[in-house]
Amino acid sequence: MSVLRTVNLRKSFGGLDAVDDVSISVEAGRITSIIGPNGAGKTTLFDLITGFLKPDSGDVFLGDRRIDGLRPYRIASAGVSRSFQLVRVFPQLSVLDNILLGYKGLQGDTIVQALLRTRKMVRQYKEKKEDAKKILENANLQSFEKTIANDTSYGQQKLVELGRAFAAQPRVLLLDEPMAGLSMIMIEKMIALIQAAKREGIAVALIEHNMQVVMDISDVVITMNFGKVIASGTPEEICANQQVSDAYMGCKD
Amino acid sequence: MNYVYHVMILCGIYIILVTSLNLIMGYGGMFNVGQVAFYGIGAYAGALLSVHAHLPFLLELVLSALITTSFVIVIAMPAIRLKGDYLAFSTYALGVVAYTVFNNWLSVTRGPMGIPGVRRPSIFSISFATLPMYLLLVAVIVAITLFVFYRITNSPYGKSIEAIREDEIAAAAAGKNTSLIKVTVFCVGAFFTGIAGNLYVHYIGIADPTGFTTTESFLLMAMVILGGSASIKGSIAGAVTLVIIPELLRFVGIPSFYAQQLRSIIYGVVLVVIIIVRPQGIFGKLRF
Repeated sequence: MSVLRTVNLRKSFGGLDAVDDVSISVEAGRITSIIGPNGAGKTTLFDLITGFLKPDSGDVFLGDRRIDGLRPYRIASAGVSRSFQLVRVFPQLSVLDNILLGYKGLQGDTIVQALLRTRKMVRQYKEKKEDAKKILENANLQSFEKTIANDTSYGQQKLVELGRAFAAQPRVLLLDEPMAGLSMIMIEKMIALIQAAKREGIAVALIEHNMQVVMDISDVVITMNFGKVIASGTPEEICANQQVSDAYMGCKD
Repeated sequence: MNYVYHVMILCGIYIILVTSLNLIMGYGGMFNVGQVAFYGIGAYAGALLSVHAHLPFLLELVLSALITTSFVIVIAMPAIRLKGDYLAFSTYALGVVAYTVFNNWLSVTRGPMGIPGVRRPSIFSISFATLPMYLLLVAVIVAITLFVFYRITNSPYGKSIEAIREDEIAAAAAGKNTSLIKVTVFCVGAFFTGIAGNLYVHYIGIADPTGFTTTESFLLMAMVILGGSASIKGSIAGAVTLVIIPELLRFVGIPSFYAQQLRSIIYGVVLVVIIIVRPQGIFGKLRF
């Protein structure tokens, strides 16, 4: 079932067609990988979907609802969570606080509720803290709960960013190069978390250059180049479809 | 003893000012070098309402705070699009404009002559004219201010404010309405700064431009940095320390003419020392 759909999405910067008539679909409970050389338009596509860029034309649908043109916080609230190519955590806040900031619709989220400080707000925040601790356990970061995010390693920060995205209980999870810069052990952790998201029915879309991972875990692979989708299918079909050399694609069969 | 009351009243007013600035700068990460403009607007609004409208004090207090907030909403909406240095310069310019208006809009502010005759207030026929009573009034308002700021900053909303300071894009991607929160932070800061301006003007008895120079903004920033950003304890510590230190000069026998110039030197020295020795301030946990 298609949770996220783009229809004829276009974005140009001056003379450069960064995203050129892109129509893709991301299904619930599936991992869709978007691959292609640097500059193919993959991150631009994510930025268009999540509202950080406005499309020149075309639509983005979340379920039945058009979300193109909405501001990023609205799209995030609607159920689209993302991670960034260069990891974005809240550096001077603790790891636990970083996760807690992912939750939506908390009592105490508005200034009036903060001032009222009801028992419900205090109780709910305690519950969310326990929930956030579980998220940290899943990522094996439980001992870092009070650590300032800036003091954790790059790989750990990526897991924290992912944890924040999970806390939002999204319908769609967009991950931009989640494996970049990670050691083998961290990559395995990351894969485990992504597959857990898939099992929960979240529609996962990854931009990734690590071909091994892409081929191992993806249900659908979409190839982009020069702003266009040039191929789409199962990992095997994409590998077989290759006109470009194996070295470029890195397919190992 | 009167002197002690005087110093404590000043401490109270500055605690409110510094806590407000700390919300905007420390928690919110927005460089506001124009805080003095909000202070002055609150003071002049209070003076004008008191002298011309003779409103009951509490109504006048809230009204002048709301007037200050209205000015600030208009300023904040474009201002929140600016970051770092640009915001600092713009808010500095705001402070300069405010002082220029206070000093030159003769028909309203009476320029350098100021607006005298601002009387100590009475609430429900209790007079707060004497120093101990006025200190009581200030203390109660400080308590309310700290209560409000404590609740705002110790809540999910407070964490959202800090998230925006840390990484606005990540905060937006986490579903926080960053523009609204930033404007709200400015407005809450403005509201209480307006209240502080009102308390000041009723204490001194006159609204005059020399109290609202841009140097005053640097003093407020020094108090935030000294005490520690994003910390209510820090705001109190910074305010009290930098109010008291120059007053101690009197006991060292320095004639008051020199004391005035020495103040600026003291603020500068304290600021430099703190940045070298303990950049996060006394109670702060953050570094700029």
